[in-house]
Amino acid sequence: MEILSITRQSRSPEESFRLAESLGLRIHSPCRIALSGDLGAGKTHFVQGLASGLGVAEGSYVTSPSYALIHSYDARLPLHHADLYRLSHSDEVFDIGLYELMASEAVTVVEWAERMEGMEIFDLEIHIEIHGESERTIRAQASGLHFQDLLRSWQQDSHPV
Amino acid sequence: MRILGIESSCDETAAAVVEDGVKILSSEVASQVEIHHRYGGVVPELASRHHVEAICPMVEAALAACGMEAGDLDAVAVTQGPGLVGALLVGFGFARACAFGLNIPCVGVHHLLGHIHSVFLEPEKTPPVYPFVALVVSGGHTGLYHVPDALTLELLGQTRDDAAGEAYDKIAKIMGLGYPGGPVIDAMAAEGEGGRVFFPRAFLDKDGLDFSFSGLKSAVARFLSEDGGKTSRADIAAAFQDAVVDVLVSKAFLAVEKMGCRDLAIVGGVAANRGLKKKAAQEADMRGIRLHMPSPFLCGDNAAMIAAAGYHYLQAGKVLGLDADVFSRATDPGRVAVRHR
Repeated sequence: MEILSITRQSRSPEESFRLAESLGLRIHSPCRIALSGDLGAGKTHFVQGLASGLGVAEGSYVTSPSYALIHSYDARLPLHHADLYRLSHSDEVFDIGLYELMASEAVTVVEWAERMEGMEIFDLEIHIEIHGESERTIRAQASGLHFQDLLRSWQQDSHPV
Repeated sequence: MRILGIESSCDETAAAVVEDGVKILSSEVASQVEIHHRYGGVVPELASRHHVEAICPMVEAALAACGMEAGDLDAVAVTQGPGLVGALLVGFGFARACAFGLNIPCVGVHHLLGHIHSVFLEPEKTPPVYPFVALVVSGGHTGLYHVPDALTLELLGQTRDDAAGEAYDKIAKIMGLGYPGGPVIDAMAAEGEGGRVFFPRAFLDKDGLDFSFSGLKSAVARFLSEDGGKTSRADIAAAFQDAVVDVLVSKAFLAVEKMGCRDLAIVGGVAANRGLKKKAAQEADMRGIRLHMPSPFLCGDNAAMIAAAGYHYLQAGKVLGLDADVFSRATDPGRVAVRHR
């Protein structure tokens, strides 16, 4: 199957937030996202924008799940944010209950998804690349038709909310 | 009143027996005990399966350590949240079944409230007087709370991105120092000179009580890649630690001042950090504030603190109903004890 890959440029954390929010606003059905980027790329910040677009209550603290492994938030669609960095075996992904969350009516964002076996489970793969202090390239990929449409619509949004 | 405490919210599986909310009769923590010996091999470090395997031996060890039998217990207290649902459920299910079988009450304790009760568990130390301010600082949490009584936490501010302990872990990782990062960087910082490098302090808005450690993490990462090994690692560790400790201490005392309290408790895994302890003690002395920090064995996750807090739940009649469930988020609205201020 053809993979659609699009890139968006961001010049500041604020712009990255708005881009993520704009993506979040477009998600109306369960979605599994693999999120990657080096330390300091702004992965947590991206999820904060996504959370805003999904309608997580303003004033909620959307923070890094590196230690707790999974953070969950109530929204239009519940948002689960996982970071698998601390896991050492792929069967631990099963132990922490991530597959149940991914099979539920929710948006699940997974960092260090390579700890799992196979990336086929993901609808979207998003990679944030660092350029200097505040510039970022956000690359998004989708293979399914529905999520390709979603990405095309996101790409056309030249003035993110 | 003898309460069995059970904790399984994250990595540690722990059981303890505490009398009247203040006296530790026994306290066992699986990741610190020679669990490898018990099973004759490697156990997964994380996740629910580890809890499933460790919970019975931990409870048996806690009872044996104080010469008690299950029938001598008056109640069971268990961490209800926040934490990893799959991990919490192991302790929670065990505790409720255990209490049901023994026909004694079971209470569900808020993990952060448990940490705060760790300052009541050392008889040689004077406990704080309500109302006081508590800084809960660990790998997963960094927050300031106003504590008006034994069962209430009012959130004053918390991290907007990384927890302080997590910043330590991530910096230790890029410096190649291993996991967990806190103790290593603390030791290394003691050898270094903090003034040789300056890392930014994220005070956010000066008057607010929220924290941010993500910018500091990026600044250290950037410095490391640009410096190319010219600055000693001890100096970098010291400068990083200074930046973290500065922010934690100044926000904690700002909260004490704002709330008009005389007592400050600093609890959680990072409370074992010597740099933090030293700076907080200096500041407390200067301002005439009574500082309360638990000994290192009570800083990390343990079940004694859960049993201690559980005593107050029991006194208040907050016993778990049959439909009770665990919860994952620290600041979920409407959950036990925590309210926003």
